[in-house]
Amino acid sequence: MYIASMIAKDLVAASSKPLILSILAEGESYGYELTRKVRELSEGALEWTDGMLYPVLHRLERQGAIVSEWKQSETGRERKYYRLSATGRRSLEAERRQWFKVHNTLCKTWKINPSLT
Amino acid sequence: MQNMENQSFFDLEKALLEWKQDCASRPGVSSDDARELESHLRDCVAELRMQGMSGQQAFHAGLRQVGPTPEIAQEFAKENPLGLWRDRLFWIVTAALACGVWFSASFSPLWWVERHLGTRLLFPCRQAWYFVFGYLPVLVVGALLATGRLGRAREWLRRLMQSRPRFACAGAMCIIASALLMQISWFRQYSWPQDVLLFLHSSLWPTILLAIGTALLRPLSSARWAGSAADPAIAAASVWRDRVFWMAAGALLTLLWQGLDGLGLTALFLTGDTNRPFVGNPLALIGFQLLMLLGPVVVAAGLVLRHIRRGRSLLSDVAPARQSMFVLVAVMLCAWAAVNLWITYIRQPYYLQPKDVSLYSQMSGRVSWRWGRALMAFASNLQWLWPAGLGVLAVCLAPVRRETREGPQPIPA
Repeated sequence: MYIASMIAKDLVAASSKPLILSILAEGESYGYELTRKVRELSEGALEWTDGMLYPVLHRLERQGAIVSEWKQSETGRERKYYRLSATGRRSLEAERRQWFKVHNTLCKTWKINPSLT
Repeated sequence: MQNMENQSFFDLEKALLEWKQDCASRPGVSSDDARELESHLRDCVAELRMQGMSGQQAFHAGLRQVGPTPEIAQEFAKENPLGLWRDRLFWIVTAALACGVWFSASFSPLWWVERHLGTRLLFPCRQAWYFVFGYLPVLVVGALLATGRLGRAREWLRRLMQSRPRFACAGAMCIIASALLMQISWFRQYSWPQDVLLFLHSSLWPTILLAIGTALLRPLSSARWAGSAADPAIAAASVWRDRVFWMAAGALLTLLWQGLDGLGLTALFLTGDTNRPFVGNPLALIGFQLLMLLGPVVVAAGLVLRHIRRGRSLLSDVAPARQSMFVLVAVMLCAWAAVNLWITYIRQPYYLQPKDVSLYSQMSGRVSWRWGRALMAFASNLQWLWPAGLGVLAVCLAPVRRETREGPQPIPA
């Protein structure tokens, strides 16, 4: 049972990689902050089950797109911080191109003037 | 009022540690993963408390935000399939070791009694002893663990798994105790050098299993759980359900493998008596043994290759085998049992002593009808309930394959 206005499961899952890479392109971050930023940017439309984020982060790390490091936060508690690698930047560029293509195709199908690109 | 009392007694630190312990106990979730999840939940709780929630409310809202632990663990396992299979293999090996040691210990008194009586007990009595004192307790303990009972035993096992030396020492003590019991009850008819050799021989296989189990163990540091209550309520029964499933499945498949080997050997001796030394072509014996032992391995390797050729990774297929597979195994065991009935009790009834035959003939009224005698012997051989019980346990506990997607999922409304 899901709220009708929520984004479909498959789309939420597919958009996770470009979203994570895009946020990390602005600077290093940790899991909780990533989910909070996604919620803010999507104005609540993308409500992730937070725990599911970490397997994605670990997969990206395994692929060499991001690197992680345990660090002490300002509160004194340890957190695992992630940052983008050179491979990750290239991967982000590829993702951007693919998503723009999808966006443009959909806009043309729906007779909307694309506002991106 | 009741709610307020509950809230005042809520220990947030304890709840967080217990949740972390539950996460770390899941197959495929490393201690580092659990630490990271705990850090996330702490951030959640801190923010929710700043919004005015109580510790208990913030904890439960945070849990909902993080998501259900079994589903998260399944996603982690997909990213760490080797860790997942390492955990599964550890429980299969540990179960094999525990069963081996327990069976030696529980069967020894029977052998001791028979040695002092100077005669074998009646066939049904022997089988009843094996089943009641050997197999049945194992099945009952497995079922109780899988349904979340035996909290003290689970806590004891958790303590045992806190470090490799502790696990190895406990295992070694059990192996020595069971080997000594066997020695006292059975082997004392031999002289000194044979006694020692037989002691070493009976301890060899359990020692190999213990070494494999110790190498596979994922130690849980006791310091990490300092302050955590024993057997927390949320240390999920589903973790034990999964473990017992793999233990039963492993034992069942091992039995099937051993059965194939035994069937091959028995078929080879169809015209002879297995109690006598083999007088045929030794190459035929070796060939048959190799065929029966290596055949299933070759078939399994072929299935794995086919799986890989289809572009799927065997290790990342984290959803365990479907129930239908275990129904198939149960059917195969029944077929094997039927063949064994014919071979063992019709062609070579060496299991039955003259007094067993006399008992069955008194019960049935006729001595000459060997099918009737064989069926009675087979019916009173309660050892068949062991693979049957394992099959039932595995089928009941087999998880249902669920459709999953990669990546974060929306929170259910």
